[in-house]
Amino acid sequence: MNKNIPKLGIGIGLRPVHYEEIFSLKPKIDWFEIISENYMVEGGKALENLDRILELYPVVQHGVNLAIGSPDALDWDYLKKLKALTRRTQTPWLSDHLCWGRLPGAHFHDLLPLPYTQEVIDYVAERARIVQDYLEIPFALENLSSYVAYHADQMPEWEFYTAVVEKANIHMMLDVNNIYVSSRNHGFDPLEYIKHIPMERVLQIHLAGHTDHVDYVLDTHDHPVRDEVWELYAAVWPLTGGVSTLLEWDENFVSFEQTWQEALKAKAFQKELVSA
Amino acid sequence: MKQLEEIQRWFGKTISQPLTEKQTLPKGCGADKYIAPSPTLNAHQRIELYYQQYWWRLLGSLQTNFPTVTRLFGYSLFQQQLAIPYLTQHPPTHWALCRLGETFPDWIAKNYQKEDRYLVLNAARIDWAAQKAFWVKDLPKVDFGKLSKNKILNTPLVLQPHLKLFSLQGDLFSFRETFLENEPDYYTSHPFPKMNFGECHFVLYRTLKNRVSWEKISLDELNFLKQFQKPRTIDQVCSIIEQTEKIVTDIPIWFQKWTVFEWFGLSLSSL
Repeated sequence: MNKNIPKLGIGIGLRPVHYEEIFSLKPKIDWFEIISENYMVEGGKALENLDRILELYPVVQHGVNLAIGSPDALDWDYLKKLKALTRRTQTPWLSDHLCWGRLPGAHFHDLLPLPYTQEVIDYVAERARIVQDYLEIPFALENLSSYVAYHADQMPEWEFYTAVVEKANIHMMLDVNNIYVSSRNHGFDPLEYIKHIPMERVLQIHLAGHTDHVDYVLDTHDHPVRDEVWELYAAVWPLTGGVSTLLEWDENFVSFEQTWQEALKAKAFQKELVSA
Repeated sequence: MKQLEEIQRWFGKTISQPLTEKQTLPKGCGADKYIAPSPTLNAHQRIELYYQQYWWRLLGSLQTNFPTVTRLFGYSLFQQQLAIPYLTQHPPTHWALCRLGETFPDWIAKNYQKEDRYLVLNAARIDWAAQKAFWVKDLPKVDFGKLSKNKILNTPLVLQPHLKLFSLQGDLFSFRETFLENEPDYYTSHPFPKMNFGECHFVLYRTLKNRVSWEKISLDELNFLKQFQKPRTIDQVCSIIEQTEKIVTDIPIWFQKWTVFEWFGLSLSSL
């Protein structure tokens, strides 16, 4: 499934707070992931900065506003802009989240969880297939960190996630931190989750920090990656055949160098795993 | 899809209820009907996390897009008096958060009637103009060097969409520049910068290096530039200015500067 997907190594999420250091130091980073919507603008500084990055690094697009499980029609104006950006970035694949976030007349700007039902699998898979066909590049959906479960749920998350991507014949962007966060919030075993994932569909892994409130865990992207998440990463990464790994850091920013050092821990894990 | 749509309608309605002072979700939202409890949180506590995230994200974005207005009020009053009522009446409909607050200045004009209304409303207008100037698309540029004199005089020109003109009773732009040097919380214990009053005119624009900038202009410059808010040729604008019987000798100098700054674009209808 993933044999034509490039393995880019270790990357970090490109954030404007780090532009200055990146442009002046030109650090040796394997690749950057951008939030697509930040660059789906008509003109100005954001696109100028993106073009400077593209001259130096491979860039992969990750979106937050496709809201694929929303009840209204796919937003073709959004998709048209998204496709135009993929042409500019030459992203080898594109990902967004397995969620909903829109109602007619309202955009919630959040990644809201879907009920895990057969009806929703059919609905989302059809839309995901259309998106991939339209974009003409590999498309992946990412598992969420979630804080609610519905009475309507008919299956565990991993079964739902797998069914959607297999039915749509798309890929998985596996967020290891999200598996951990959801496992704590819903009381499942994260290793059980991993056991059921068709690893040949995983084209990228996300890592991030979270905030532990004891009674619940929030996916905040504002800390270093926790040990429990590194342990999960060590279990998952070899099973994927060594796909690209990305560190997300979105709040309480630290310097570019510190962010990169955190991401490089993944490289150390990978070396250990390969030599083992 | 009835079940999914019912859940989504309920979910959306619940998390977009107005944010309470304690930032907790009002009781009685019917969470038990749809949400299963976890070993540590009941259904209401679980959906409340989404309610808080919805509001914190939108309030944060509106504060980013309206930094001057946020400082005039401070975080708490900005949220209670303006942001929460506005976002309740006008929840976001666009996927881009950089567009959040597009109708906020108009909403303030209609709904905010206190004695500092003039300052608040114009601060909101400038904040939005600065926000929009950051990302709005340029119209096709005019290469004056390649045009004959006749063509220069007869090509309809229009101000670039990033450019916005202001005529104010006070130097709000200098005030804003100093004001934004400190975070909103600073002004809970420090006075606002001083503002010079009197009629002032300004242009806010995006520079060739894609920075958002502004400068003070004269009334004559303002009136001349205003003529290009609609597509007009230089000939047409000169005729209009002549009719005012006002002698303006600086037009060639201004025009030279403005063309270097690329403030004029080609009207799309003329292409």
